[in-house]
Amino acid sequence: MNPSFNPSDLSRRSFIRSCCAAVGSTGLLSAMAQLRLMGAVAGDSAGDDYKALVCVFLNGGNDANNLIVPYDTSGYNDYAAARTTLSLPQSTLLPITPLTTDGRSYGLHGSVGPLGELFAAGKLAFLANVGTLIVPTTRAQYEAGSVPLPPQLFSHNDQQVQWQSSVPDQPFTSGWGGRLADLINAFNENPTLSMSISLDGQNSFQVGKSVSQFAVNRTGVVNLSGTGSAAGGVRLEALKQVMGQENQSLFQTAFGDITSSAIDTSALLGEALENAPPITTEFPEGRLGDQLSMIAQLISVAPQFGLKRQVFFARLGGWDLHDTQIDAHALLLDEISRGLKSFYDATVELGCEDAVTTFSASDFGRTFNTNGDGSDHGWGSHHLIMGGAVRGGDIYGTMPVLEINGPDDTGRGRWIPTTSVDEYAATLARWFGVSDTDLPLVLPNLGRFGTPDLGFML
Amino acid sequence: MNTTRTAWIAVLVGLILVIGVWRAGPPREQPQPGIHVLNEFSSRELSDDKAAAASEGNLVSTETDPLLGLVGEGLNSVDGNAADDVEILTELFHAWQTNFPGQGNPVGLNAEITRALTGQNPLRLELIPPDHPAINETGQLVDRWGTPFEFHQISGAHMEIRSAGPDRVLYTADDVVGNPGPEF
Repeated sequence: MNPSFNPSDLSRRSFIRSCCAAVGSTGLLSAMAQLRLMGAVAGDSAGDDYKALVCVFLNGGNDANNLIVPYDTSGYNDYAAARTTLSLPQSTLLPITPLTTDGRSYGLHGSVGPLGELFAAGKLAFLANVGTLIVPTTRAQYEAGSVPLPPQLFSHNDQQVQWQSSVPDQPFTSGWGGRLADLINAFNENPTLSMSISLDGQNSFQVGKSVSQFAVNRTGVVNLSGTGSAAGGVRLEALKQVMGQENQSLFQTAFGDITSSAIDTSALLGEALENAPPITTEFPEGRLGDQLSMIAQLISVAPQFGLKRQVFFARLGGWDLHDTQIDAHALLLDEISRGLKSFYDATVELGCEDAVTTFSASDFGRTFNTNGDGSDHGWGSHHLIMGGAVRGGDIYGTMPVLEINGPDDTGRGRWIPTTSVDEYAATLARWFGVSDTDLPLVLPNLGRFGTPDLGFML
Repeated sequence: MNTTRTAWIAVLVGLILVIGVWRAGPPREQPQPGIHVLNEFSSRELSDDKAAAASEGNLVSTETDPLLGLVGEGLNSVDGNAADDVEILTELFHAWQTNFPGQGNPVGLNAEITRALTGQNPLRLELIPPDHPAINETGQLVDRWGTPFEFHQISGAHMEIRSAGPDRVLYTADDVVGNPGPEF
């Protein structure tokens, strides 16, 4: 019998000693993992491999129930009966032929023709019904409350953070993209630019311990206001001198260093982007097209900054469609479809399509039945993965039983995820260079789930 | 001598306590700690018209409401309006957060949230009575026109509350919205 833990047995000294040991061992494990990676990089005969992960976050919760739709007669009829006003006419769907079958036929929303082309070409895959989980969960467990559930399910902010941290059962400290960058930054040789770049401001996904996210906007680097003119140049120099002054306070010194570094990096990056050969692939105008166009340009200049691994974050809002969903959703899907196709084409133009993997994420899925003119917050949802290294043309994971009050439903067609964000992220992290041994450093809850590699990456 | 005196004092105190308990009668129902009393409707008199209106729909006749003092008790009162109702629900969620600090609001569909607010929670705390007229037959909190409130969960501490208004259609111009959140 194990002796039970009694807090009264714990002296202050032993508590502090335990804490120090815990903190020390965490850092040590991380450092050892990074050393292993350095060794792996040094032993890499090619030495020039480049990989980028691009997260496209669909802010608000995408209704993927209308992205992948049952297409066989009985499946479609059930779908139409359940979704009523949200159902798409069968004639508008784009039928797909996945490499493997679950016995059903599926079609894509009529607005995502370009994604359908990529799917048919084997460059895009779907992952069915993925979402935040603390442990694998069944409907019976959900109803009985016998397993822990992600806190604040169905709340936008909480689910966005949990999707991006993949640690729903702990207070937020870092994102899985940030932890990935912390670990994998060893691949980059004296980088002069952060490997984590956000195209849409601060985000939880890229928050790490040692690698800071660098923000770029849709048109390029973010300059300090009032520094664009000749007089602005003088202001900038003055600011750099102030920031470069020695301070007694460590905080002030660190702030000065970071600010000076950001100013210098912005200048270098701005210059590199100006001098880079233009990308001829045309991108659709709009919020996402602009972000993806800039990411393609940033990838093109990555070698100038010693970067062999990059993590990008783009975001498109407007998916929280509680009303007027049919028309608005079609427009959003059209925007994302054309934007992603252009981005893939741009990576082909750059010759790096096998090295760039783009994946979608979102707050949650949406209710299968309608609230009248829209849908409400759901849970599990389908996502897409795109790139030359994707084992495309297939639907991975398990499609939920699309039945209100069915085995996967928690009410109104809020599907219990059959695949966790941890498994989704782990499959991407493995492709990015993280060993199976080190995966728990990026995804600490991964061991609770059965599939650390879902098979959608080559 | 001292022992005898102490014994007499003890007996006297005991007698006083017994008499006090006997005079007070059985313990009265007390609100759970932490419940915020929002309104006292008991002293208000309703006109015959309002009482009649209350008996027809989801409005509450305060004359017949036996559970006074609960946070959600004044919901859909004939004396109030939709904005008052949204405010009462806002207070109700504040009361929830006070009683369940750090856990955030109840989440899910209207019926799930209603269940939590009516006592199906770890403290069995009834912030609104389970038989309140504002709860329909499917267990949903409804507005004064009978349409279920929309509880839009922005974050654990931020609940946007929407009444569909007189047209009974959500997301139209006559909606009454409390704590509007950002667009996602």
